[in-house]
Amino acid sequence: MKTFLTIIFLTFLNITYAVDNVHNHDNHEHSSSAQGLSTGTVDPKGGKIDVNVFGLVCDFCAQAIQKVFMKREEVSGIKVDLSGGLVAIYTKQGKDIDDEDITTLIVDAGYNVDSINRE
Amino acid sequence: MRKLLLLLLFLSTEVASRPVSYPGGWTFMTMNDGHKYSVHTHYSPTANYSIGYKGEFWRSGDYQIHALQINNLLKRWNKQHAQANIYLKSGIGITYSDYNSFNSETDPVFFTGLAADWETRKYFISYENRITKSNSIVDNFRQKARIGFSPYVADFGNLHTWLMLEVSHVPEDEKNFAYTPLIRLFKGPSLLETGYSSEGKFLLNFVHRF
Repeated sequence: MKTFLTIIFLTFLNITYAVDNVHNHDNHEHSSSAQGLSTGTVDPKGGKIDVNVFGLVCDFCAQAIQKVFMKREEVSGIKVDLSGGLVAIYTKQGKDIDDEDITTLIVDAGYNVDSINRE
Repeated sequence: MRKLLLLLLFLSTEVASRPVSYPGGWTFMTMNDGHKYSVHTHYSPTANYSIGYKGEFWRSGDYQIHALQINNLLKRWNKQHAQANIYLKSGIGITYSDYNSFNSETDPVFFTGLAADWETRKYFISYENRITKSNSIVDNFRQKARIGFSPYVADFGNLHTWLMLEVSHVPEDEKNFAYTPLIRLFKGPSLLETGYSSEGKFLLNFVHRF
């Protein structure tokens, strides 16, 4: 019982720390060199595709999206925003993935595409 | 009956703790809840099913199960801020015991069960059941449900914390309901759960996805 209470106490400290450190984007913007990618890099001469995805609720979902897209040679980096249900795909210079391929990859990973927007 | 069992096997799935991964993904799980210690490692050829090894070591009854387990995603609902799933998880293998009258006896064993979950980034509900049957060593039904919430919402890659209550029901046990408050810590590819049940048993689960 003592061990369990210790675990509870440490977890409470952990929650307190995590709540204090939840990232807030309201008052600032990231520079392009520090866009908080989930994985990979941003090719400054490449493109960016924003995909609104339904069903992203946890890190396992985000990891799945990250893994399937990083296998594609056109992709330089991925950013998954769970709160917004948004996946940002950064492509390499001169490379692109068409909407149909993006939709297939996301559906095959177990999720649904709401919309795809390109910059 | 045998044909039905075989049919169930090939339709089979596994639920809770996301028993199916992304295409090409591997998952390792170890679960310890006072009744049993188990390990399960599976590979997902597609996002609709996974196949792997399940090993269980049951303290009450003192028997082991070693099985090939198949988990099928029967249905998934993807919503803007929620996801719900129904899985079928089944296995076939052998069970072994040298408890009481069982003299190092080995039996073919089969199990199957349904699992369902609904999850947002703040709330979680799940239910799962399982029937396990062998010739003489094992014949039981178990079910459990969970409800939980996350006290804060964190970004991908940060630490996620969930507080949950698990209620398990084992009809054959003298005290057939057990309640386990637990904490789930989730970060990136790893998930850790720990709790303490009304039976005075620790729960310790770990999942890692590759």
